Amino acid sequence: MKAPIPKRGPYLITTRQSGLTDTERLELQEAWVEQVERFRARGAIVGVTTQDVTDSFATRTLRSLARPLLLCIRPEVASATVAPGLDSMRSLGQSARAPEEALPVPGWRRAGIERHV
Amino acid sequence: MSDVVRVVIRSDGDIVTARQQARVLARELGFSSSDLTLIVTALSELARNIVEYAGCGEILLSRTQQGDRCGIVITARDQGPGIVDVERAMRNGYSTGKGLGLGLPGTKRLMDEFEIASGAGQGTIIRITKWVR
Repeated sequence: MKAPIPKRGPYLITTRQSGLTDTERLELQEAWVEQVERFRARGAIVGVTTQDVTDSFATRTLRSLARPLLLCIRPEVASATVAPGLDSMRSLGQSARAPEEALPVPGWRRAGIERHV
Repeated sequence: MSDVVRVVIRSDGDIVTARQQARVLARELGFSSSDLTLIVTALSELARNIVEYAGCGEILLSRTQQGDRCGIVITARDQGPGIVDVERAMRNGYSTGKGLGLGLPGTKRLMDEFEIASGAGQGTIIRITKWVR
């Protein structure tokens, strides 16, 4: 299981596909942590728009990716982060900031990324 | 209408299969995408409990109808060691495992109905239901 991890300035970028098993998630996580340490990344941009599940395992791996973290997430998954019962997700949802505040990248605003938090 | 989808749960790959099957059925029934996410999340927790605590078991997926409304029923069944104190397991913050899951109370809150039958040495059956809104 491999996922490309390109760099954008001081940030690392990656995606998570759907249908990953717990074992595959852990493998990706290990490869990711290695890269974060190697490049001394100051933050991460992670696309999980194909991910449709907010179970504890998925959440835990997302939370441990890096700080700050810009998470590209589906609206229904984002709304599930504050659903009753999903306490582990809630801390993720509650710590949300506007993207340009969380991860300052020149051109965010021009790219049409707006505040939705 | 009485079709039941059965997924044997032995490994984490089976959890993914069960999630995909639940998603197909829930979408057919007309659940919103946010409910779909909650259903798949609840199922994922129950399936992972089977792998973690019992080693193997099964997930049954079916539709249910009550008057005008329809819903999805997910049954998680195993012949594992069972839960010694069900009442305690249903309390927030209680776990005998690694304690990293949502726990049974968390899973319950994601759904509309939650039934459990378990006891030491008797295995565990959990049935959860969500109705289409």
